[in-house]
Amino acid sequence: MTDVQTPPVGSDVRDVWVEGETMRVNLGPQHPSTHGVLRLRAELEGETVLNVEPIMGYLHTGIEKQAETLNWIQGVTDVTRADYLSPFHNELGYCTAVEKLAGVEIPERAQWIRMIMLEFNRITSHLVWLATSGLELGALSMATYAFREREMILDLYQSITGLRMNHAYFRPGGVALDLRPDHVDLIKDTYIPHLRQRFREYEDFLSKNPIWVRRNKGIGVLDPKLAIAYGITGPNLRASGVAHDLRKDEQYFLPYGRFAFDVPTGDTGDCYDRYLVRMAELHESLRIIEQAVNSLPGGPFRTEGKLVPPPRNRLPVSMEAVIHHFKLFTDGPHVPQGEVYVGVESPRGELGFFVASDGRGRPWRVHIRAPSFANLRILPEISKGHLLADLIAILASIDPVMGDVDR
Amino acid sequence: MSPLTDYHARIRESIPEAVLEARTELGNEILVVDAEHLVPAATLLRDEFGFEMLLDISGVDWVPREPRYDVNYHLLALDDNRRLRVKVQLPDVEAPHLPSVIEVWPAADWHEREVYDFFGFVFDGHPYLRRIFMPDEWIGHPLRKDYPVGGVPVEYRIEPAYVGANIVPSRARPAAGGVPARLRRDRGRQSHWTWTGPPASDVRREAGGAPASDEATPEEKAKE
Repeated sequence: MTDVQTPPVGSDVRDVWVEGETMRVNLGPQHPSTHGVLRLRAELEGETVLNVEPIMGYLHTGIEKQAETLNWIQGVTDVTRADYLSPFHNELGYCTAVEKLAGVEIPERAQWIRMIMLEFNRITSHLVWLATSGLELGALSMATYAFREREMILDLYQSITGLRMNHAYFRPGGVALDLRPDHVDLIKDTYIPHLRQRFREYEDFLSKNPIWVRRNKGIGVLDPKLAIAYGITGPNLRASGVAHDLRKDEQYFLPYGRFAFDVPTGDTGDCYDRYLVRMAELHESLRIIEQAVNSLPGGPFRTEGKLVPPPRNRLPVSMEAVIHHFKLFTDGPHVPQGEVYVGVESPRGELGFFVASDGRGRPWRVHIRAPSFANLRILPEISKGHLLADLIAILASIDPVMGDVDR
Repeated sequence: MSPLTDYHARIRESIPEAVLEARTELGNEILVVDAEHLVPAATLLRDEFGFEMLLDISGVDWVPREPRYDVNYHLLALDDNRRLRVKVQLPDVEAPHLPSVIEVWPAADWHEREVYDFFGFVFDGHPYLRRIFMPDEWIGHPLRKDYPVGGVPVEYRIEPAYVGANIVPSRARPAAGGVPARLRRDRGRQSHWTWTGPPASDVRREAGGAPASDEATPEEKAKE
């Protein structure tokens, strides 16, 4: 690319490219292709990226500090806002950490409801990734299609939890509301067949699309050794050929072992493989949801005890229930001293919650191991030597959510 | 023999003083390592026990305990999903120092910057240790317990060109935002989760050096 550089005759504009001269270009923080408020300081030679420095903190909201000020139940509403595209996974990590500290087991039905919601959440999160990366690489109609299906699932969330986003639906000890039989029928009869057909349409639409393939194939190749050294998890790691999925771990706290599903992996670890892995995960999530709604057990949807409020119909007849209710919503439950780390397989990788308690009514420390934060670190390493336009493709394929990065 | 005692024995073999404690808590295996020997111990764990992945580094401020701070390194061995938490304890000084593990796990880069930003621990050997989330000129380290919640004045400046009848001129303005300091609700607002007592060193001296973790909060005192 260094050969053809002829200065225009009679022009004062200095557009002669000088060998070895670099230029700094600032992308963002307010730019649609940076997925929120990420700022990239790119050093370019011509159009080739020499180095990128991600600069973040524009969306830092002090979620960890705030969690120390809220009681153990209120904390759910706080952490659900960290990664706003996968709120259920944040809630799951926090609730499981609290349950482990308190030594509480949740009923089977609550586990099943959680798994159904989590897999729907994986789908909605991947749909946003599909929509935005389509938008950035010129497949504009992908944005409208993917958001259409996401909206459909958000309606289901609203019907089940009352809210479209930031649900605070998982609570320590179970879930806030039970799944109604009509929800189950709706998922079985409408959502699963419809989504399955739509996901096939997306694949027909993109997988063989020459522009899509040429923008993604061979771009941003992530070597598995590099990925492991940098702590990359989730679909980004699996696209590099490492079949690491916490849901397949025998010690995982949700019984995913009861369902048949595959862990899709890629071969080369380029942007196209990351696309294929996420598309395959959409189908795997549907498989899990289908098996889960078909085997949904009965019984209570939350445990009994100190962590959860007493049933509403007990309040007029039981003084103990009134006292418990009052204590829970004024003082909050007290959780024994200790510290615990819980890792959750979120759509972006391992979402970790490190929660420490000093035995009082509020967490002493809540730390979120944000998968986007760890994954974004790989951007400078895999975008070196690519064109500036490919930097956008690589960033899109890493799928960072700035709410998760900055917390 | 559990894996934890394995790690302990192996590290003790080559670096006798490295491991201070090995325990299991709520299913998490914890190895408390002396800060001085962190890097060689981490290298051993990575090379001989397959902890190839550093997932996370987090700090905890356990004021008024001494040593006051914890730094937790969460490790993962990919082949069999073994996990380990390496814990380093740091004394109550203004800027505690500990070695950086960036040579062992490159993943430590941003995690160490995050801990530096929020707690002010200095990771010796980190090539680019500067704030990652808070603005560069920020004063204080927000996740320390003596840093109040809600005590941050709103960053607000009146451009001289816009000073008119309805905006207090900047010279007469007593505080940022045009609200007198005594009326601002977020000024120095503190509650029972913020450490409001005397400095931690005083509390420890009064308690005879023992951690004063079972001290009652104002809320609990009121109930009694």
